[in-house]
Amino acid sequence: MKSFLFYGLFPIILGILSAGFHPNRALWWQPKPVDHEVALQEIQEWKETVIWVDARSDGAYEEDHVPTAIGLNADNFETSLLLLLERWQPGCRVVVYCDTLQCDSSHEIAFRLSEEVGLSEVYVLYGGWMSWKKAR
Amino acid sequence: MEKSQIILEHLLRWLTGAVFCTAAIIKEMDPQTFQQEILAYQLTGYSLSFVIAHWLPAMEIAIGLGFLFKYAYRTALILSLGLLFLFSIALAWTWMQGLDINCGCFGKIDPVHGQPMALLRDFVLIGIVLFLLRRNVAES
Repeated sequence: MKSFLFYGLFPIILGILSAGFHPNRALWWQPKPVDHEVALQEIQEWKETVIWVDARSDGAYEEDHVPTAIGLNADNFETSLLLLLERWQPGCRVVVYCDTLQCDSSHEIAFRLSEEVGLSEVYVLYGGWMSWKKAR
Repeated sequence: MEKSQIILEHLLRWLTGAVFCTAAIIKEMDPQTFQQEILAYQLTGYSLSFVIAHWLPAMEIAIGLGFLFKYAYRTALILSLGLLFLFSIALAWTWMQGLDINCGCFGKIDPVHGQPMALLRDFVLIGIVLFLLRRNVAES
């Protein structure tokens, strides 16, 4: 009986409390893309040149990244921006990604690129690096 | 000899309990990221991964406490074996599919990368739990 209560009910109750009240709880369904988010499948159908921007940490970028992606995050924004601008031409589309669906850094970098730098056609990869790895 | 076996048993029991509790706490700190790691295995959809993301850490905490305080200990041993086998099968499956994923066991701070090392770690834990189970059965 004590085993059932401790290993049966206790995890269920704790799990329900976590699912109900955790500020960063998991998602019950797959969220739809918002605003400037674009799915990988759609990006692969674009005819325009795509410049990939990796908004993850330097370590994550060094470990692996989308081929030709520029590692541009909040820490190295000014220096990596120069690399991006060397490559950017009118008509190019910039796609920013970070780890997963829920990370904010890709949206922050995309915002800075459109508002501060004034680039048009800046998008965020829906699902982030995880969606790229899944498709690989 | 027997005394050293008893000391070894205690140390391994506490270590295993600590491992389960630590893994649970790390997962519980960020269920959304843990859910993405579950989804990366490509074995479940969002709804089931939601349940796992919240139930599994709670289960690991219960098992970890069972090890640390030797509470309903035999059940903790059997359940931990079951979970470790399930994790190993899931990891082996992703390795065969060629998926490049993180284990998700200890979140972003996991020092082990790639399925082979994660599987090795699981096998070591399975070995430890089997040793503890054998000692527990011999005691009773």
